[in-house]
Amino acid sequence: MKLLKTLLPAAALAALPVMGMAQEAAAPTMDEVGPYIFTTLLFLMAGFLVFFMAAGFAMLEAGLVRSKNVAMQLTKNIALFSIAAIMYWLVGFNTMYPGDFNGWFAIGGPTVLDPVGVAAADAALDYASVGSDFFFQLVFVAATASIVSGAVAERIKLWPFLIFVIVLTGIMYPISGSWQWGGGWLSEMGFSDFAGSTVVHSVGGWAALAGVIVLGPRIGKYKDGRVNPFPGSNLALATLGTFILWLGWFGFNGGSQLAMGTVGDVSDVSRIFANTNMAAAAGAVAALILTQVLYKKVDLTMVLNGALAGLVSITAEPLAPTLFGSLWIGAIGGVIVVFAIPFLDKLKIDDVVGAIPVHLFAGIWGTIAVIFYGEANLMTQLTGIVAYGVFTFVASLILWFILKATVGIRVSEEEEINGLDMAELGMEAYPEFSKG
Amino acid sequence: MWTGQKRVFPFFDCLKMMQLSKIVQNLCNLSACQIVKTPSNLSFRPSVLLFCACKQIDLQGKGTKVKFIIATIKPFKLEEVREALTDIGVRGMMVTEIKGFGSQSGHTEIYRGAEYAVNFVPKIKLEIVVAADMADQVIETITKTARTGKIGDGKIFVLDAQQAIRVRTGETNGDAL
Repeated sequence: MKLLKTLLPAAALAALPVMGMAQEAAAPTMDEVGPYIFTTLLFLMAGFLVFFMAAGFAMLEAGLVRSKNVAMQLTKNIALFSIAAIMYWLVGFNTMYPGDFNGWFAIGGPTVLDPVGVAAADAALDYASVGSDFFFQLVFVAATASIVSGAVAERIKLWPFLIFVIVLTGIMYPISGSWQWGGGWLSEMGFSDFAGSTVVHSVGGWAALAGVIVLGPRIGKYKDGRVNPFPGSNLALATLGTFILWLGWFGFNGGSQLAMGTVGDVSDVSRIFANTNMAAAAGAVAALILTQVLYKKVDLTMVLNGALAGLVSITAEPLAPTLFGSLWIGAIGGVIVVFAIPFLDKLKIDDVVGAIPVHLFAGIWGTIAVIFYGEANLMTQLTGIVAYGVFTFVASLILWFILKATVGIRVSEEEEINGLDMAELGMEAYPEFSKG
Repeated sequence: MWTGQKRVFPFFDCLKMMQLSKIVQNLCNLSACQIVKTPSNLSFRPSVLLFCACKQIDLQGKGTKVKFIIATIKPFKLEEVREALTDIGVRGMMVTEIKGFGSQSGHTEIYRGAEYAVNFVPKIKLEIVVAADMADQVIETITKTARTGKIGDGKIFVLDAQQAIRVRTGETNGDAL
C-alpha cells in the first residue's frame, strides 16, 4: 500500500478551509470530488471481493479435511471472520493506522465512521471514506486468520482457537501491520510490500507454523517413519475454494492501489489485475507440470496450492512487473509449494491444507522478488521478512503455549478419531452417509 | 415331517431325564415329549420311557436345486457382466460395492508428495442364485466377460444354497428365482 494513511488526516485538514469556501460559492466540481468517489468505490468493490475470499478459504479447507471434520472447519471459518470483524473495529484498525506514533506500537480505540451524509468539505477528499477504508482493511485481517485455521485443522479445539483469533486479529496483526502500512519503522526504512505478501500472508503463515508445532501432527499422520496421507473429503469444494480465492485476489491486490481517481491509478489497477491473474496461472501450471514429472501423475491438490502460491508471490509487487515478470515470479511460487509440502512432512510438521508453503514460503519469496521489478533493496526486504517472522512467530508461540497450558488446545485422542464434527459440534456436514 | 425318538432310561435317572425332556423341548420347535413310567418288570428294575416327537423344518423345499454364486469383479466390468448374464437368462442378482485384497495385496499411490499404500482395492461383489444346472454357464460367462488378463480381475465362489424362497408367494428353489 503506497499511500500512507498517516499523512492523510493532515492533508485533509489543510484542504478544509479551501473546500469550505468553494462550497459556499458553488457545489464541488467533479474534479474535486471525483477521486474521492472513485477511490471509495474501489475500496468497496475490492472489499467485497476480498470478503468473498472468506468463502474461498472455507471451501478450500472444507474440501481438504476429512468428512468427519468438515462441519467444524466451516464453523471455524465463519466464527473467525466474524470475530476478526469485531476485533478490528474494537482495536485493530486504529492500532494498525494510529496516525502519528513511535513507529513500533500504539494501541488504538474503536473505529468511528464518517457522519451520515458527510459533506464534501468534511470528507478526506484526497483519499476515501472511512467506512470503505475500514471495511477494506478489515477483510485483510480476516484472511490472515483464515490461513491459520487451515493449518491447524482436524485436531484443535474450537474455543482455544477462537481465543487465538481474537488476539491475532485484535493485537498481533495490527501491531505488525502498523510497522509497514501504518507508517511505522519498516515503511520509513523503505521496506516494500504492496498488498501483503509479508504483512498479511507470511504473518498468517508464521502464526500457523507456531500453532502446528505446538499442536503436533494428527494421529496416525507420521507412523514408523512413513507419511500417511489423509486425502481430503471433497476436491470439488477445494477447487471451487481456490477459484473463489483467485477471484478475491483481484480485490486484494487491485484495491491495494488505494486510489482510482486518475487515469494513472485506474490503469495501474488494471495492470495489477492482469499481473495477479498471470501469476496465479503460472503457479498452477508450474505445479501441474512438476507433479506430473515428479510423481508420474498430476496432483490436483498441489495444482490448487500452486495457483494460490502464485497469487501470494505476486502480492508484494503486483504493479511493477511485466506480464512475463508475473509469470516467472508466480511460477517459482508454484515450484516452492510442490517441494515445500513433502519437506514439511519430513519435519513432521502437519499442515492440513498446505497453508504454510502457500502463505509463508511463497510470501517470503514474493517479498524478495520485489527487488527484480519494484523499488526495494534486498537487505531491507530481508529485514522486513525477519522482523515480521520473529515478532509473529514468537508472539504466536507464546500464546499457543499459554493456551495449551491453561485450557488445552487439542481434543482427546478418541474425539480426534471420531471427528470434531460429532465430538465438538454434535452435528455432521454429511449426515446421510452414516444414517439410513 | 415328524420324527420320533424312544429311549429307555433307568428309573433312578428319572429326574435327570425330566430336565432333559425340557431341554429337548426348547431345542426342538413344536416338539412334545412324553414320559411314560414302565411297569416294574420281573427283574425289579423300574424304568421310564421317554418319547419325543419333534417337528423338523423342511430345509429342502420343492423344486430344482439352486446354487449360490459369489463373484468379485472389477467395477468397470459390472455393466458388461450384467448384460452377458441377462442374455443367458439370469433373472436377478445382488450387487455390492466392496473393498478387498487378493494375492497382489493392493498398490501404492501418491498424495501431496507422500506415497501411501492402497491396501483395499475397490471391487464389485455379485451374488447370484441360479438353478444348479445353470451354474456352470453362469461361471463361464462371468469369467469370460470380467477377464482383462491383468492382475485383479477377481474371483468366483460357488456354494450350494439350501433353499430359495420367494417372499411374495412362498414358492421355493427353482420356482422362486
